[in-house]
Amino acid sequence: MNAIAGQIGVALGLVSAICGVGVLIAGIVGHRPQWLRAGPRAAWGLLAGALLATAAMEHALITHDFSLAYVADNNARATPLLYSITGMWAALQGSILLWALVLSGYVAVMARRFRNRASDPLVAWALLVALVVAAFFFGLMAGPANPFVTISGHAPADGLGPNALLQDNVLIAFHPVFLYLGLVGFTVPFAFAVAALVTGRLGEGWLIETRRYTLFAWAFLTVGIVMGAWWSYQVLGWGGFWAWDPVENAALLPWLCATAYLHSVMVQERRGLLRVWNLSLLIAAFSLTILGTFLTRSGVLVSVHAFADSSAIGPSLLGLFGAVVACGVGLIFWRGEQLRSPGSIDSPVSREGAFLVNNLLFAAFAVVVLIGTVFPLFVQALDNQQITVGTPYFDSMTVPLGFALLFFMAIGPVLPWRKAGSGLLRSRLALPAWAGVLVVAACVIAGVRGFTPLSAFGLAAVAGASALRQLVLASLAARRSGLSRWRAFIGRSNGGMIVHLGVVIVAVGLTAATSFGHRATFELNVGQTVSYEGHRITYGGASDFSQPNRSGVIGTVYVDGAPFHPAISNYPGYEGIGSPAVDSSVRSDVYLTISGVSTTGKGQASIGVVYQPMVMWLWIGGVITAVGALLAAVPGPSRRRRVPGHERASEDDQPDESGGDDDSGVPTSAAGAKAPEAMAEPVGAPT
Amino acid sequence: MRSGGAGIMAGRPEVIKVLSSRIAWVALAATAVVLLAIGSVHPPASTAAARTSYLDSIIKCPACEDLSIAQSEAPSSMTLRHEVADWVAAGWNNERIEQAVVARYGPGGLLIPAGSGLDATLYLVPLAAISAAGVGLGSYLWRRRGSPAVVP
Amino acid sequence: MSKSRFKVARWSALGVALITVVLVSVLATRQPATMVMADSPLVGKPAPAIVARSFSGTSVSLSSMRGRWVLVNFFASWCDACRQEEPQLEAFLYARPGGARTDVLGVLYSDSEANGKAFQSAEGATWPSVVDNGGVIASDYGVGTLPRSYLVDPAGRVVASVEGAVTATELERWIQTEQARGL
Repeated sequence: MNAIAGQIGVALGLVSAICGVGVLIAGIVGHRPQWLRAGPRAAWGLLAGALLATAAMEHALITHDFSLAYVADNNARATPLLYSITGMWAALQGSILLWALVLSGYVAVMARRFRNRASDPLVAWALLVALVVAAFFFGLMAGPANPFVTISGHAPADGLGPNALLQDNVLIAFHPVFLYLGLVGFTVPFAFAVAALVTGRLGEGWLIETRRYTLFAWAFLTVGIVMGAWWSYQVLGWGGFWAWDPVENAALLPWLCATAYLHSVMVQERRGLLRVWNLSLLIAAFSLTILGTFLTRSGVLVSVHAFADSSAIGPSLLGLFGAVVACGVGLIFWRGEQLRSPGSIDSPVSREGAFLVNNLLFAAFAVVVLIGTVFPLFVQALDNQQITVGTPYFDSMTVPLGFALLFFMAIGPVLPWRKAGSGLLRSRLALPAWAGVLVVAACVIAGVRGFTPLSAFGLAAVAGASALRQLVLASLAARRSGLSRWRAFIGRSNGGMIVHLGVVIVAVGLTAATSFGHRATFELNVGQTVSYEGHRITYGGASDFSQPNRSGVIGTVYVDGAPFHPAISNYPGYEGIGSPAVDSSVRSDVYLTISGVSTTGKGQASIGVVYQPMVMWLWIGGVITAVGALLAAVPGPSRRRRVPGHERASEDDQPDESGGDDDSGVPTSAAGAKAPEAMAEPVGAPT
Repeated sequence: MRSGGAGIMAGRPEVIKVLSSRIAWVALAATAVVLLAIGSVHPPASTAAARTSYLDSIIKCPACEDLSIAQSEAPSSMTLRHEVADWVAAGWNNERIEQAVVARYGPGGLLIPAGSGLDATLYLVPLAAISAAGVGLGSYLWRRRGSPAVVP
Repeated sequence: MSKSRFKVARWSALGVALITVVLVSVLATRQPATMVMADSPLVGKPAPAIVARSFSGTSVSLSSMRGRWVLVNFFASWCDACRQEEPQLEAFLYARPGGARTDVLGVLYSDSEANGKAFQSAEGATWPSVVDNGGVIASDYGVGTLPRSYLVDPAGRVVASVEGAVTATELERWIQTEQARGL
C-alpha cells in the first residue's frame, strides 16, 4: 500500500513536470501566452506528487513496513520514532526523495510568486528550467533511485535499523533538511539566470529580483554547514569540527559561489557591472550542488559520510552536471556580445573594485577546495596510485585566502562607489584600525603568542569594528530621521553588517580553537584526578547500559567538580562508537572521551581530553550570521519595488554617504531624499 | 583631489580628525608591527616536539578517512603516534619516517602527497590560476586607474 | 575595450568548458572507492614478525609457521563481516591446494581479550589467535579497518593482502598461481 502510494506520488510528480515542460515549450515556441499561463499549474502537480510520496514513505517508516526494501534497510522495530521519521533521508534513495520534496516546494513558491507574469517568456523559461531539473530528480526516483522498491517474497520480521551514527543525535532531523533547503534553493536563481541568457534580456533586474531567493538559500545552507560542524564536534568524538572531508567540501563549494554572488550582485544593481560574473556565479553555484551530490552519492570518494553507491545514479548526476555546465558555458559564449556592461570600473580603490577582487578571492577558494577534493581521483586515473589530500593541504592554501577575505571585509563597507580618496579612507578606517591594534595589544599583554593567530585576531577586530561602525552610523541616521533606532538593524546593508559580525566571530573562534588547542589521554583509576590546562579532571567510574537499539558503557568524569558522561555505544555490527561529553563555556571547551574501560581491578579507563578555547564562538557566530541574513531579507518601508526593466545602470554621479544602500528604509541620497541631516556623514565631493 | 575646506572632515569629532592624519596612520602601522614582532617571539618548542607534532599532523589515521593521527583517538592512531615518537627519539629524520609510513600504508598514508611530479600539480595549478587571475585583474584595474567613467 | 572584455568572457568560458570535460571524463571512469583494491605495500616483502601470546596463554610466533601457507587474519567481535568469513577461514585451514599445508593465525584488533575469546569459541575456530598488545602488530601490517587478512607464503613473504572478507577459493587461487610460478 505504501509502496503503491509512493510510486503514484513519484509518477504524478514526474508526469506533471514533463507536461509542464511540454506546455511551456509549446507556449514559447508558438508564442501562445495562454499556454504560458497554464505552465505554472504543473508546479502544483509536482508538489502534490512529492507530498504524496513523502507521506507514503514516512508512513511506511513509522509503521515499520518492512515490505519496502528501503525501510528494511534503514529502520527496525527498535528504532525510536524520531529516527524513524528522519530515516526518510538516512540513505540514498530517501535523500533523493527529500531533494525532490524541497525542490517541488521551491518550484511551487516560484510559480505562485511570478503567476502574474507567467505569460512573460523569461518567466516561462525560468519555470521550464526548474521543471526540467525537477523532472530529472523525479526520474531518478522512478528509475535507479526508487525508494519504493518492495522486497520480493516475505517481508522480513525486522529491519536493519539506521546507521549507528544516524540514531545518535537529534541533529539528524535538522542538518540534512537545512542543507537541502540551501542547496536546492539555488535552483531558482539558476533558472532565472538561464532564462535571462536565453531570452537575451540581460539588462533587466531579474537577478536582483531573485536575490532574495539566493539570500534565503544561502542562509539555510550556512546554518546547515554550521550544524554539520557542530554535529561532527558533538558526535564523532575526535574533538574537531571540520576535516575537509569530501562531503563537507561538497556543501562548501556552492556556499562560496553564493557568498561571492550576494556581494557581486550589488554592483550589478548599482552600476550594472559584473554581469558575466553574476551569471557565472549562479551557474557555478547550481552546478556545484549537482557535482557535490554526485561526489557524495557515487561512492568514488571515500568519506565518513558518503552514501552507499548505486549503479546508475552516479552517471546520471554526472551527466546532469556536464549538461548544466555545457548549457551555461554555451549560453555565455553565445550571448557574450550582449553581456557588455554599460559602464566600467572607474578606480580600483572603490567598492566595485573591492567586490571584483572579492569575487576572485572566493573563486580561488573554490578552486583550491575543488582541486583538493578531486585530486586523488586524478592521480588514481593517471598514476594508478591511492593518495590522500587532507587538512594540511587545505589549511595551507585557504588560510592566506581567509586573511585576504578578512581584510576586504574590513575595508569593503567603508569604500564608496566609484572612487575613494585616501583622505576618506583614512578617516573612515581610523577607529576600526585602532580597534584592531588595541585587540592585538590586549592579546599580547595577556600572553597570546604566535604571528598567525595575532594577525588573525587583529584583522578580525578591524573587520568587526568596521561592521559595527556601519551599524552605529545607521542607528544615528535613523534617529535623526525620526525613525526607531532599531531600523538600523534591518535591511540589506545593515543585515549584511550583522552577517559580517557573525563571520568575524566565527573567524575568531576558529583561530583560537585551532591555534591554541591541546589534547592528551590519561589512564585513570576510579577516583584518580589529573590536572590539565587549568582544569581538574577526575574519573568517577563507568557502568554498562542497555537500550533497545544499542548497548554500551557510560562513564562519569568530573571537570572541576561538575559531572560529564562520555560513553561508548555498541550498535550491532559496528565498532564501538564513542559519544563524547563536552564541558562548554564561552571561554573554552573541555572535550571528554572514554575508551579502554577495564571492568577488572580498579576499573581503569582511558580518558581523552581535548582542550580548545572559544569553540562556542563558532556556534554563536553561526547563529548571528543566520540572523543577519534574515534581517537582510527584510525590506525597509521606503524601498522602491524593483520592477525588472528598471535596472539602474548609471544613476550614481550622486555623492556617496556611508556606502550603505537604501534597503534599510533610511532615506539616502540614492533615493533622492533631500534631508541632509539624514546623511550619516556630511559629504562633499569625494577626494 | 582634495575638497576645499570642510569636505569630509566637516562635522566629525576631533578624535577622528586626529586619528585620520597621515602621522597617526604611520604611528598605527608602527605600533602594529612592534606588537606583532613581540607576539611572534615565543620560546621555540624543542625540535623533537615540533617535529613530532608536524609528523602527527600529516600522517593519516589508519582507521579514519580524513583525520591525522594527531586528531584521532582510534587505537591504531595512538599506536602509530607512539611509534612516531620512538622514531623521532631514535634520530630518524622526517623523510625516513614518512617513507616508513608509506612503506606500510602506501602513499595514501600521508595527508599531503609527498611525491614529486604529478603531486606537485596539486599546489601548482591553484597557484598558477590565482597568479594568472591576479595579473589579469591587476592589469585591468591599472588600465582603469586614470580614465574617468565612460558613459555610453 | 568592451570588446576585449567580451573576449575575456568567451575565452574563460572555453577554459571552463575544457576543464569540465576533463573533470567529467576522470569522474566518469572511476570505480566506487570501496571496490578499489589498494594494494598493500607489504605485498612481495617479508611479513612483519609476530610474536605474541595466544588466547590459551601460549606464546605464538609467525616464524614458527614457516613451511606452510599462513593467512594472518585480523578480526574483532564487533565485526560482522569477520563473523561471516569464519567458515571461509575454516575451509582454507583444511584445504590442501597442490598438496601444500595451510594455517591461519588470528590477530585480535581493537577489542577486549574476553570478547575475542568468546567470538572465536562461538565460531568454533580451531586456529590460534593472539592478543595484539598496544596494537603494534596491526600497526606493523598497516591495518586500519576490518576485516583484513594477509596471505604469507612458506618462506615468510606476503603474497597478497585482502581488504574485506576473504573467500577460500580466492586464497587457493593465489596459492596455485604462486606454485605455478615455481615457488
